[in-house]
Amino acid sequence: MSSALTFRCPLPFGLHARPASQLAEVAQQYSAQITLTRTKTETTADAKSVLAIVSLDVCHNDECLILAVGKDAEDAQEALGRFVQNSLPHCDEDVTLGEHTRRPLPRMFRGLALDWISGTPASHGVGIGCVVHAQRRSWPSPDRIALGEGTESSIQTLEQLLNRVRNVLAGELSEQTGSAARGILEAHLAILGDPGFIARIESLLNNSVTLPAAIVNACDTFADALRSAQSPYVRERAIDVEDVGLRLLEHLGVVVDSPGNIALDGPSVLVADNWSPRQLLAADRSKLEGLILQHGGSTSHTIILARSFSIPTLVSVSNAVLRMTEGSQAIIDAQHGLAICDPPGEVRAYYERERNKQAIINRRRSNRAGKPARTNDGVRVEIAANIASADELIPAIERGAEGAGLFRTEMLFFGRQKAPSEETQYEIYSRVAKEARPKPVIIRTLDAGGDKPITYLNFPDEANPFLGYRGTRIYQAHLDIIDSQLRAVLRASAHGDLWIMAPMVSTLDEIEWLKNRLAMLQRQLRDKGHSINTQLKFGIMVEVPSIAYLAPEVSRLVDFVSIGTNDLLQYFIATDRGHPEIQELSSPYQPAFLRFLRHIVDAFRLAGIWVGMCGEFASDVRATPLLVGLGLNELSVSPPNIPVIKSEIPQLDSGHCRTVLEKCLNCGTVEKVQATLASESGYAATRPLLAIDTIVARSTAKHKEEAIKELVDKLELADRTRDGFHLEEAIWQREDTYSTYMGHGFAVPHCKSDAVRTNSIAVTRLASPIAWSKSDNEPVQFVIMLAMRASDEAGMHMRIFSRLARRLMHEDVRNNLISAETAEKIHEILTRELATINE
Amino acid sequence: MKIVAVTACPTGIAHTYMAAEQLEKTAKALGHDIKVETQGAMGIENELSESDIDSAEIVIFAVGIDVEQRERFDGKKIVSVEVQQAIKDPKQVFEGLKN
Repeated sequence: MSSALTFRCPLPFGLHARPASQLAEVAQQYSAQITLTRTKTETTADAKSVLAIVSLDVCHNDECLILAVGKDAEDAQEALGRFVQNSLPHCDEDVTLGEHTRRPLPRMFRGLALDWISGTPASHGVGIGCVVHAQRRSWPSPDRIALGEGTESSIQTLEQLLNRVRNVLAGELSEQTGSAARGILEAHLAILGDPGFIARIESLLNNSVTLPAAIVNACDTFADALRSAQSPYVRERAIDVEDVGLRLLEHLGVVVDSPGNIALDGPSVLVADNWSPRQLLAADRSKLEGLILQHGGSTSHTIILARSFSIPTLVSVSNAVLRMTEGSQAIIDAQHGLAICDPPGEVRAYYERERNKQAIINRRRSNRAGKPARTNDGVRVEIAANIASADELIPAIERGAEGAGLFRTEMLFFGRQKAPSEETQYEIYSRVAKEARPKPVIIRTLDAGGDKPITYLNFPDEANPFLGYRGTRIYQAHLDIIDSQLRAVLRASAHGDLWIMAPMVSTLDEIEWLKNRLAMLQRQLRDKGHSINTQLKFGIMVEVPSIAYLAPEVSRLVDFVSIGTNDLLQYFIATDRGHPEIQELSSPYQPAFLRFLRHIVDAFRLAGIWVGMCGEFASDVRATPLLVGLGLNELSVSPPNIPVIKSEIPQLDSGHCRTVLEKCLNCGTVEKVQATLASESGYAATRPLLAIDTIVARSTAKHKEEAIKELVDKLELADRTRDGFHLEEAIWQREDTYSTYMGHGFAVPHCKSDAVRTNSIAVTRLASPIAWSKSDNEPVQFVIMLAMRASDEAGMHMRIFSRLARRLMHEDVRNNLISAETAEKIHEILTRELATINE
Repeated sequence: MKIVAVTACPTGIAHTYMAAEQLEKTAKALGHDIKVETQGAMGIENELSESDIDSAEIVIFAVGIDVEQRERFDGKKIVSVEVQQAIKDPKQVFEGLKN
C-alpha cells in the first residue's frame, strides 16, 4: 500500500531544522518507509531524518512529494497531510522580524561627538551595561581529535553517549518554559536521534575511526551541507549541529579549546563574533542587558532565543569586538540599531529613562491584554482575532484577543487529495473551542472558489472566478463536504462557545437553505446521542453588497453578522484591490464606502443584531475612531495589531467618535476624510491641558536632554502623544531656532506637531537647577513644556498658552511655582493663573 | 512717549506673548504709553490701526520673523530687537529708544 502527497513549501526560509524536526517526528510514529522528494532536483531524503530533510535544501515554493510505503502508509499519509496543512505554515511564527524599523539618531545626540556603531536590530529594547567579550566555542578540527584524546571517559559506546547527552538535554528542556528555548532544545534532541546522523557515525566507527573523530566528522558533514544551502536560515543551523557535537565531545571528556560559559558580574552587554544558542541558554540572563554580534543572521537560533527573552540584540555589527573595549560602558539601542560606547552622562541618563518608560508601557500592555477594551466613556468594544489555524489561537489570546472573530477554515482544505474527514475537523474545532472557552470562536464555513482552487472540488473554468462559483454558492453541489464540516462544528460545539458563519451570502434563500441543513444535521446528531450546544449561534458575512439591503429579513434568520470589508469594498467600488493602476480607488476611506458601512451597521443594529467586522479595515488603528463611531460590537483583527488597538480604545470617547464619523461622512474625497481623521483625536472635546500625571514636582534630571526627555515621556505615558520620538524632534527643532529660556530660571520648550493628540502642558520643577543654553549662563529650575496640535489654529487652548506665557512674566507667579513642593500645588497654581481668562 | 510695538516669534506660541507682556509692563512702569500688537499662532491680535501708528513717536519690532502688513509702518522710526531681548531685558529696550 502506498500513498503520495504533494505540496509546495510555504515557508519563506525553506524547510529548515525546526519544521524538519517536527515533520520527522510525525513520520517516526509510523512503521512505513516514508520519503520526502524535492521534485526540482529529484533528490530524496528519509522523512524520519531531520538532517537528511534539511540537507535537501527545500526552498520557499519548491514542490515536494511525500511517499509512504508499508503497512500503515495510509495513516502516515493522513497524519503528514494534516501536518503539512495545519502546522507547517506556522513554524516560522517567531522567525519573522516584525516591526524593527530603523530610525534616525535622536536629534539631540547629533551635536555630541558620540562614539557609536550601527548594526541590524534583531530584537527590541534598550540595554545599558559593561562590555564583556565572549567567544563562541570553537569547533575542533578532526586531525586534532584523532591524536588519541577522549579515551579516559567511562562511556564506551555510541549508544551510552547518546543516551547520556539525551538525558542532559531532556533535563534542560524541563527547566525551560519559553517556547523558543524549548523549540531549540527539542531541535537539538532531534539531531541526536536523527537516523542519518547516527548512521554516519556508526559507519565511521566500523571503519576503525575513534568515537570523537567520528562525531567531529559526522557533524562536519552535515554542518557543511547546511552551510551550502541557499536559504540563510538553513545556513544558520550549522551552529546547532556543532552545538550538539560539542556536547557529545564534552561528555567523552574531550577538551575543546575554547572558554567556558561566561560569568557575568553585573549588568553586561555581550559582544562576540557569534554565539551559540547553548551559550545563551547557559548565561545568567538577569545580568544580560544586550547582545552584540558581528555575525549571526537575524534568523539564527541564538537570535530567536534572544528575542524570546526580550534581550536587546544587534547583529551584523562589523568589528564590534575591536571597537568595543572590554570593561567599558555601553548602551545598546535596538530601536535605532546602534550601540554607544562610553556614553557621556547625559546620554546615559536619557537611555535610563527610555528603558524605564518602555518597561512601564510593556507592563501596561500586558495588564490590558487580560481585560476587555472600553472607551473612555465606558462603551465596550470586543477585540477578537482573525486566525487561520488552531495554533494561532493561544498566542492571539495572550496578546489580548477576547476570542476569534474569524477562523478561516479553507486552510484545512488546501493542498490535499481529498477533503479533511469529519474526525480531523472535529479534533481541530474542539481544540479551539476548549482553548478559547469561555471566549467565542466564529468558524467560517468553507470559502473556496476559482481563485483559490481546491482540486477535488472540480471547479469549472471561469472568466471571472471572483464573481463566480464560490463560497456558499457551491454547497448544494458538494453536500458531503459541507455536511461533514457542519457536523464537525456541531459536535465540537459541546466543548465551548462556537459560532458558525457562512461566507459570500447574497440572498435569503442561501441563508434559509443553510439553516435548514444545520437543523437537519443537528437532529440527526442528537438522535445518535451527540450533545450539541443549544446556544450555538449562526450568522453570515456581509461581503456581497446585496445582503446589506435585506437586513430586516436577514435579522430574523441569523444571530449575528460580520462585515468582511476586503471583499465588500472590492464589490462595492468595482476595483481589484491588487490592481497597480487604480490602487487609490480601493481605499476603505472612500466616503461612499463609509456611508455604506453606516447603512449596514445601522440596519442590523436596529434589528437588534450583533455586528462585528473582520476585514482588514478593523486592523487599521487610524480607522478605529470611525469604527467606534459606527457602533460596531466587535473588531476582529490580525493578532499583531491587537495590543495597539486595545491601547487605542480607552483613549476614545464614543460620542466624539460619532461626531468625527459624521464629519467624515460629509467629506467628498478620501483625502478630506483622512485629513479630518488626522485633525480630530476622538477624545472628549475637553481633555484638560494640564493634569497631575504630567507634572514632576521634584525632578532629578541633571541635563537639558534629560529634562526634555522626562516631559516627553510623561506626555507619552499619558497618551497625549502618538509618537514620543517625533514630539521630541519637534521640541528640539524649536530649541534650534533659539533657546526657549525666558529668564529668571524658567524655560518654555514648545512645539506644534502632528505627533500631539491633545493640547498639553507638562511641567518639571528641578531639584537642582540645570544648564539650558550656552548663550544664557543662567541655570533653569522650572521647565514648562507646551505641546500643541499642528491642526489647531486659533482655538481656546491657544489663548491659554498665551495667557500662561504672559503670567510667567510676573515675579509673584514665578515665586509661587518655584516654592511649590507637590504636583498638586503646582497644578493648583497653574490652574488658577489660567482660569482668569474670560472667554 | 507714545509707543507702538509688534511682537512675533517663529513658532508663535509663547515668546510672542511673553515679549508683549514684558513690553507692556515695563513701558507702564517707565511712564510710557504703549500699544502692542501680537502676531502669533492666533493670528494678529490687538491690531494697530492707522491712527495708532500715526500718533506713535516710535515703533518697536520685537520679532524673530518678518512682520505682517509691514507697509503700515512705512516712514516711521523703527527700532528692531530680538524677541529674547524684549523678554529678558525689556528695560534695556526702552533705554535704547533714547538714541
